[in-house]
Amino acid sequence: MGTLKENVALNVKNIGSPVNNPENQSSPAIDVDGTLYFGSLGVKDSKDKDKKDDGVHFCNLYSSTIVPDKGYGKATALPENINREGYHTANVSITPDGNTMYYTRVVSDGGHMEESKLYASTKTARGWSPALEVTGINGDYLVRHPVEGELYGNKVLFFAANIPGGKGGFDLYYANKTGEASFSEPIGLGSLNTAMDELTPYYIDGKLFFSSEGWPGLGGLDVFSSTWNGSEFSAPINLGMPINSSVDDIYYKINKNGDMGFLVSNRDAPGSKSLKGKTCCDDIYTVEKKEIYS
Amino acid sequence: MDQYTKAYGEVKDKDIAIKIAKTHLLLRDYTKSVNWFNRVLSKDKANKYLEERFLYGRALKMAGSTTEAAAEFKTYIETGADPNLKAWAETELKELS
Repeated sequence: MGTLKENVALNVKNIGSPVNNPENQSSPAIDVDGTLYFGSLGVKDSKDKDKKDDGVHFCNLYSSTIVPDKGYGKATALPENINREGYHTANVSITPDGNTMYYTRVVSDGGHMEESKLYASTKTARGWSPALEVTGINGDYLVRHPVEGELYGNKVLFFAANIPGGKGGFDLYYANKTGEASFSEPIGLGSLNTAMDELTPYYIDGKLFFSSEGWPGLGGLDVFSSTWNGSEFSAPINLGMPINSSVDDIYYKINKNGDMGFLVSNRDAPGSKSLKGKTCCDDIYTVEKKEIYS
Repeated sequence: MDQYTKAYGEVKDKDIAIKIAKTHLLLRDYTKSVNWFNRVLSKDKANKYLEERFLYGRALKMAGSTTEAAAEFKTYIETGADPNLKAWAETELKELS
């Protein structure tokens, strides 16, 4: 297919239970202490066992830590001051210093997103602080996928939004940090946006990774990278297989060494869990550099 | 979805089949989407469902049928009406060919 080559040095593997379940999982984010945060639909807490299932499931944020020799352990829901009842809480990211968590609260009606706003919590000795609505970015449009980065020597927040006047669908933006949970007005990443959706930005060491269905790709949403040269982003490069597949590949994140990361995909792969059909639902995958034995 | 499927079973209406195909695409069941689109588009000699050919191409691509997908995108570029979808189809075709 086309010009894309497979990166044979990478291994993409389903993270498995108990992090993944047959519904959608999203936004894997690693804290400095190794805790994995992510969004998930349909995880039933033990306290919900006696509740009648009304068919309305909400996305909530969960955390999980590594159990030696067993992988990630049981997922625990974050407290109610973050997972507010009646909202979908999703799109979590942790700042590189581990001190701030950004996420979205979404109001949806029958699968249609009516409101999506950014929130922040800071790490305290007693856990994450109650949600604080981010100022400067939220408006009469949908804002998703916040993640911290750095441009022109300033801390910025990258995100996706369908702000009127954009190129179409969801476009990528950034805003300069001006205080705790406060930012300047959104600035569009014009050269990276297309008439279709650009989503799930992730920035590390001068490289912006994002998913797009508007640039040439293997499937629905493909992962691309673009390099910041100090004044502008380069033309996007498709990451190819196995990061991308014939379906949707989003939330690509990689560490500084480039040898460990995460991905979310609805691909039909060993270990994938889907409620209905083979590709209905998103799972979290780990991305690792293959070990070479001599 | 169940109601659409039941209705199609009763009246065999092509518009309902197209709705089912589009719903399967939204629900990301690409194989079923392809099957429902194909039920109508393979017999659409009068090109009544020309605009649906782009979505059929997307479903085919994501189901892994890249040659058939490329053919549908080509058809849409040559005969479709929506300039935005035509541009998108050209991008898709570029990667598939």
